[in-house]
Amino acid sequence: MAGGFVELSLEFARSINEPTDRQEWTDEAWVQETLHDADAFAELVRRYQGRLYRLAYRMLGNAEEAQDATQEAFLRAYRALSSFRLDASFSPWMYRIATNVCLDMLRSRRPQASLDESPLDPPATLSVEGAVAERERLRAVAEAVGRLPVGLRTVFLLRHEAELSYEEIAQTLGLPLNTVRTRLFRARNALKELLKEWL
Amino acid sequence: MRAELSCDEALRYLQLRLDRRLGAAEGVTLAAHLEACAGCRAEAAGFEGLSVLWRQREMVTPPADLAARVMAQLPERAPARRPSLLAPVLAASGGMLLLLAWFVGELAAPATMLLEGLLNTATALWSDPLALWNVAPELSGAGLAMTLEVLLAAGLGLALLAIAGLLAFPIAGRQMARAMEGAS
Repeated sequence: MAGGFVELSLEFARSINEPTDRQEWTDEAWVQETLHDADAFAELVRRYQGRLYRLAYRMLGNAEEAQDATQEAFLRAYRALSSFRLDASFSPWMYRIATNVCLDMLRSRRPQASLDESPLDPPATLSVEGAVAERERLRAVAEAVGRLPVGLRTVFLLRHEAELSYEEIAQTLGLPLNTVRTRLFRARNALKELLKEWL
Repeated sequence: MRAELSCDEALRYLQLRLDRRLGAAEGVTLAAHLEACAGCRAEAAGFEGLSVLWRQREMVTPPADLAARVMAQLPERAPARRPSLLAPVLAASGGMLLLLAWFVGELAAPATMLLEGLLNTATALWSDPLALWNVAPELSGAGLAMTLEVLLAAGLGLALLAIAGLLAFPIAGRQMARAMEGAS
């Protein structure tokens, strides 16, 4: 009986604290909801699937692995939801998990490669031979991003694909703000060099 | 507002401008530098071109059934929050500290009595070593008995505190580490 009363009180507290339109709920509110009702996780999946898939696609370079990475990221997040601090922000936490999944997949793909120090593969610039077709240009951008050392690629994509702020990237990757700024600068410089014939 | 900008600073400003983090005053300074410096103008054009190229990148969309696949692979039970041990453990540690403080307070009065007794004994023995038998009752008096009693209790309290600490800190440490680490 006491348990029922507590449940009722919690339900009442939730009902007065949350906006009536569930679409307006914050991510963190949906996390809280998922702790009571597993199906509520679907809303977080709906909100983040596109962003995480695009990040994974650019990190890994192909659709199949991007899909696996996205699924794995959501699964890891779901399993870890009970340890998510409700006063924290969900977005960097979720991106951190997705980034770690991608990095794990890249490591298992090339175990000998150092994530931060791997040099750019030769040739230094991409060829523009033949017709400058739209398709080739798009492929050139994707290839150039794929040639960035992983440490630079991650920061670049979190900034330009996920559109996170410097602070959010620092939080996501556990890096000092200055390192984020430096890596972003180096990534842009490298891309500018790789794509100079397209600029 | 600074009148001049070095090329290194101009490059840093260019990065900030790309991220819309450049203030209006810095923007003016950068514009003045770019007008005067052909090298930095070329760099700026390169970065702008890169931005344009990136905005025109291939758009990718997740497979239509991705969300359904994700939901299908989840365990059925909701990921219930584990009850935190942090609060009870900290409360227990606080309680033990209060107990220790009480013991220390209790110890003060008998310790003074014991000290006085010892002082009297020393003084008596100094003047007449054979008077030991006469002052012996001072030592076995209330001060000594109470002090020993309280010392014993304080020792017991300290031992309990040490045990609580040994249990509390690893648990509290793990809880805090888990909370800070999230799911990484």
